Amino acid sequence: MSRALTAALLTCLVAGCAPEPVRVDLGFPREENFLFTEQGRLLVYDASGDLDVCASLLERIDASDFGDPVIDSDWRPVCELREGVGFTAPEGPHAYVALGQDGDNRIIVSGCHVAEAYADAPAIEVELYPTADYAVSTQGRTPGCANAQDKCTRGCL
Amino acid sequence: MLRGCASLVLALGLLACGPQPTLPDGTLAPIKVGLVTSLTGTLGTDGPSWRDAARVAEREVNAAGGPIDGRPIELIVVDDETNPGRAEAIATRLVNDDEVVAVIGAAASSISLGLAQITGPAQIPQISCCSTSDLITDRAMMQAEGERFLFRTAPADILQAKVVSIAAENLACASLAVLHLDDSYGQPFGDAIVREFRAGGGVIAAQVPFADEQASYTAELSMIRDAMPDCVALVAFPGSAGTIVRDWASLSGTPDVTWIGTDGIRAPGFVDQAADPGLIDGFFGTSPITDPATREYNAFRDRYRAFYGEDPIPFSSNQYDAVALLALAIARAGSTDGVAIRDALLEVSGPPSDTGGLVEPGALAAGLADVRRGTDVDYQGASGNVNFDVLGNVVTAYEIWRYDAPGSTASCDDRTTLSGDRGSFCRFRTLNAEEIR
Repeated sequence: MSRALTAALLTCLVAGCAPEPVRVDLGFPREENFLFTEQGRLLVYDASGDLDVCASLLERIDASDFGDPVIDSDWRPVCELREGVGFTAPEGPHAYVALGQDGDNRIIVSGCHVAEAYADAPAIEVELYPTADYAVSTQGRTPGCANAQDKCTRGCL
Repeated sequence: MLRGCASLVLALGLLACGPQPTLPDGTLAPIKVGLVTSLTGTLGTDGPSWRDAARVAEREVNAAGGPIDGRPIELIVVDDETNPGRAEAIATRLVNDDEVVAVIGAAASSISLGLAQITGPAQIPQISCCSTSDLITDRAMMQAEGERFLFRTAPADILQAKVVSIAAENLACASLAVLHLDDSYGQPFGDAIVREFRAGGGVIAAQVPFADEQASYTAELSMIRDAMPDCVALVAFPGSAGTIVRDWASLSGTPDVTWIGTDGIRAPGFVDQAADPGLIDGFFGTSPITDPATREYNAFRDRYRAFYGEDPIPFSSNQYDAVALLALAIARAGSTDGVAIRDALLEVSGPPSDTGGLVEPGALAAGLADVRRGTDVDYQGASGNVNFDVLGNVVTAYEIWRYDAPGSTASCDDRTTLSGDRGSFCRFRTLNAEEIR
């Protein structure tokens, strides 16, 4: 094998074996929910032993027990998650948990979806649902921005 | 060389590199559920809100990972056009082509009964949010227990007929005319009102059936006028009720009557169809209480508002409860088998054992987790306690309501104001289940 071909193969191997990114989209029921959300977080848990793990995960998270995720984005501005999040895909079924919190660090939307990420798989969408704190957080308030574009380009009042 | 690299990358990627699917195809596929509602026709003004209420529950269940095996629910929405003639075709399509595991719907009793002709023999559980006809109870009583697959989260009309009679008594109606739809909702309801009012010593001045969605009701209203009643009980849907009050206003020689409508018309659509709110100012009616200020109802209302930015309408909470109960039942059954789901519906709706737990709207994730732990749960609904009996019925409280047009000075302690300066519905009196029985 020529040196040139070896180098090409190595290049191919490196390129071909690079971890496959998977996109995770957060689905807000409507734009206003996004406008009230300041920070978002995505956590990924192994679900290979129990595909029904979501409900108990959310229950634990509600009690501030984040357990042992295989991936944790930590809290970050929700605008950074607006177009979805690129992750290195772990093999096998996983529970993708998404959270959104308000400016007072209350979790106001949450959701969990079990999916397998693999090459050429469709983006994973985690549908978010308002928690009990959503009404508390938004009572009597109007969003400081007219729309998501304003929020993420100019910031809200 | 580029092509060779690409081929190699593909081969290596498939054999050893990126993640590959590990679950058999379809493992995480959605669980299909039919949602039959009236998006057009005479109930078309309210149907979209009922669809939206189902969406809130669907979303809540799916945000909790779905009812079973990580599979979300997928609602397949079908417009029945408020047309009973469409029921059989809709049900056949949902059962045979879409292979749904359950059906939510319909609103109109006649359509729910039509759907049940197909869903029952196919052993597909069906839950209606809004069908109150006593014919549904009659049908269940004629069936063996194992043949019953139709449930409803709205109470049967036989109870409401008693409330109409009580309302007429409260409103000093010595004689009552009963004007009702001639379908499976209106006919038995009208008959029951006649029975109840007579049993209380009242005089029935006339009983006049009418067909839905007619251009004019002058002929029927002339019969009512000629009977000269003190009060008129109206069993209708918003579209026909609107036409009736307009026709009554344009009819000459009408007596000054007190109107008592029913649950079918306590909706913003009635105000819209009446066109002039002044025509229905002071219009009374009865309805199962679907929006009590309970913690459970408020939890649902808060989510509905978060989704749509407005308040739910009557029976929206019943629709939310129907989907929530179905999801809990699928989890409880541990399968999508129709008989197992049907049996589980009775379990998750009914009172729990001593070690059981309550599940509330907005907390379905915790409820699903409880069910998977083997806890005997009891779902406490947004519309009431929604405890199904063996006939698939629930019992609830009722209200006597009154519509107040914009600018009305009538006093009211408990008022639901409609958006867009369309007036309000006042809760005139509340009757609990014990008062009605």
